[in-house]
Amino acid sequence: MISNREGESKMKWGRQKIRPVYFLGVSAFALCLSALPAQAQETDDAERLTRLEQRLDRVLGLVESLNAEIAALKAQKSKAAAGEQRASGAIAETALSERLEAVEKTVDATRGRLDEVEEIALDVEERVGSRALVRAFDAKSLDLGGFLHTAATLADGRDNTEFAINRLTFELLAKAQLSERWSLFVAQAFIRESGINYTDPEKRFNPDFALQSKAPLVIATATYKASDALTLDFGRFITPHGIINVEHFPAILLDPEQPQFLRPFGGQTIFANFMNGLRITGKVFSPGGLDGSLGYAAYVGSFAGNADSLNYGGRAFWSFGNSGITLGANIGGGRRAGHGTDYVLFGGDLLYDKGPIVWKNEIFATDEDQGGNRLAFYTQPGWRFADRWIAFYRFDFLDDGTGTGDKREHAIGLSFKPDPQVHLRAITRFNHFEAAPGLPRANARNYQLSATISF
Amino acid sequence: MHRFILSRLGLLIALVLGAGSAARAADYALLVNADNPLLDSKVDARETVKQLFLKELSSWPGDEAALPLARTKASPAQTAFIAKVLGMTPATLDTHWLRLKQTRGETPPREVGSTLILFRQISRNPGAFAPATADEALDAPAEVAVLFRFSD
Repeated sequence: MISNREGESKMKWGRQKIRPVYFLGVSAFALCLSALPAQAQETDDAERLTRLEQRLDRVLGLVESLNAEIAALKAQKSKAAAGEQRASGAIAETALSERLEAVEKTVDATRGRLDEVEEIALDVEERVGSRALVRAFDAKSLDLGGFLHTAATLADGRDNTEFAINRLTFELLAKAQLSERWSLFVAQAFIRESGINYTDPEKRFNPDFALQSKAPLVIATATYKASDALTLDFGRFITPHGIINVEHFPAILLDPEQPQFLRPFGGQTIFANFMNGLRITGKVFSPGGLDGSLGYAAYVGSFAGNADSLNYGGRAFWSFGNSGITLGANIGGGRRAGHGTDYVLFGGDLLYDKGPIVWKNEIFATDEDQGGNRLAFYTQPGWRFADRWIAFYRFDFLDDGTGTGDKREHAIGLSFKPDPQVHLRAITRFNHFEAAPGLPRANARNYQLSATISF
Repeated sequence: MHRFILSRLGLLIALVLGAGSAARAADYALLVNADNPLLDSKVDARETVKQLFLKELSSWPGDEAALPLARTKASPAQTAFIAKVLGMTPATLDTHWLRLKQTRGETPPREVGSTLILFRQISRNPGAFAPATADEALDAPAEVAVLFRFSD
């Protein structure tokens, strides 16, 4: 590429070079012409003419070569001018193509964003359509959920064998976030039981776990969350002891029939499953730089079956980093029913949940003012042998302090989740009852299929 | 001679495998707001992110409310995040959310498919975070930063 300034300098140099040569040629020609008469007088005309012709030829040759040089320079000049013109045109073309490329990129990006926004709008349209939207009266957000649980049980007792679809529970869950710190959580159950047709006053041969039809308010708490380390719940809540009572809901449990010490539902065989009162919970991650999490729960409240007495208790637990191990310690106490029924509770729990193994263990013991002291424990190892399959076993012991003999239960089960919201199980249980005054030793077996579908 | 050929073949296979694993390294990134307190902290970011994503904790160190965002279930970034950062399988994660839903009324983090919306969310919320592929992270605006990288 040649710039304008370079072209001009070359032209100037050409002109400077041509001018003296041209002037020299013309001067020589004039000099020769003026010298002709003098020479004709002194020398031979023929020789003189010959020399003059020779000189003239040389001068003419010089003029011709100068003309050729001038023509060459002119051609060079015009070529340079054309080159400059082409170069400036190329610059303009390059700038234009760059701008076009940038515009194309912007259009592509905008088109991509528009496509995404259209996809989102379509998704919202499919979800909402022409239907009315539900809004909470006064809440930042409102989440609704629930589950349906049903079970069919074949009970093989000492005297006869019976079958019934003996569980049908629908439970509605709702959480309203009132503000950044305040929220409300409610679980309302609608339970319709079809008890197996046994006549067994002591409920020893009848393994239907003494459940009846009812519509209990399972949970109803107003929560104030000051921080992760301090959360306050007021109302009706699950008593925060152990592992399974806290998990509580059949959608989560491997065996929807909870361990013996948590039966009957809503009772207080070892401690009350639910409390009405105040609960404080919190969790601190990596306290003091330690590798793990520290959590706690403490409560004071009354059991629905003994509303005029206060019970208290709590649990502290430590999760060991990424080991999958959580160790918990429990303490509690209160009054079971009127004067002289005070009790103190101690317990421990151990959870191992990592990789294919989930292993739950709990032990509780009470010191009772009335009746015998109570002891309950279970161990429940589970093996995730496929993505959505778990096989488990549970050994469960209960001495409920009533003097009716120790109770042992072995449960072997298979849990399958074809969909995250669908939980299917097949469980076999073997119950052994020790002999007690007036009661002979007895065994019972039952086989249960159950399904829990949640949303 | 055979031993020589076999040893060279073994070396070649090792190099190919090594090159493959090197190419796969740092395939994903955990994106946070550029003002995230953990960017200049020595706290174990992975474990904190795990606790926040699982809603076992709700605030970053410094009390900034966390806003965990998930990617669509089948996306490579979400799959790698579940396996490598949470240390879970999709089935155990589903069980975790079921437990939190039923006991505390908590819901899983919102899924965000579009990277443009993801960048907007993280730019706008100081406590927001989400997994993304390394390629997606390259297009992130200045308000979005990488807290740590991980590979599957």
